[in-house]
Amino acid sequence: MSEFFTNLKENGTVNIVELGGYLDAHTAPQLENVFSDLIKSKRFNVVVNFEQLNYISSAGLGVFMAFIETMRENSGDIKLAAMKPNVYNIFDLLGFPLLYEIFNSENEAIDKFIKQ
Amino acid sequence: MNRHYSIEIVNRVSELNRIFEMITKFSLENSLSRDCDYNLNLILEEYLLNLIKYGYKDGRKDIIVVNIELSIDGMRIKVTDSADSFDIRNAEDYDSEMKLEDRRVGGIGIKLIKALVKRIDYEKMGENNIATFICSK
Repeated sequence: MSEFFTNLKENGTVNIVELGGYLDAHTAPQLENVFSDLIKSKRFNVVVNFEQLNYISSAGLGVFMAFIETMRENSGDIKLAAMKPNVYNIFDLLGFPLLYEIFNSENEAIDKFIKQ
Repeated sequence: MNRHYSIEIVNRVSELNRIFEMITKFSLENSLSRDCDYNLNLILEEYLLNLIKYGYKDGRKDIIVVNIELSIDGMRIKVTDSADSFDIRNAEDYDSEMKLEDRRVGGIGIKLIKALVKRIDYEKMGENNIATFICSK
């Protein structure tokens, strides 16, 4: 299994979280910490780039469910981008595309924030 | 090529890594597709996590046996344990039609398992629970 990693970048008012490896029950707390830190520093516009993420389980999905309402209550959002087909399939099985905006690329997701 | 693998783990979340390592080896040796490898990981992570977190209210130690077997028509995953009785077929899963504010994390794993397998069998034999999942390879 490939190691999980997160990398945080900024593009103006948009915060980009890059994910890689396996997001599972062991690694989900690392992503929770990233979102907690973003909220503490009042950064509510978030794009998550999934390009290098190979695997997500319910523990990982739960992180997005746990933080989306806080972001939206503060006029922000979590937008998702660049998922591999098998990762997208998991979101799709749960009806998440109706709840989260999912884009083909990081730039498209950033543009959506800028145009809002 | 080894079309049958078996592993015993202790009922601790940290043991899941040993399952993942076995799946990686099994997938490589049998040239399983990336999707099949993904589904195998997901089914076992979700089921075992649920079992370990909620199946041992008294905190007792148990040995969980996982068997994976390839056949012509698919893949059979069998999990044997002596946790509290749990028939996943009757477990309530996540409602993907709910509004965001009404959704809760519970049941996501069960929903995913049910979506990814063709059939689930469950039987109680003495103290043992035996759950079998049949899925495409």
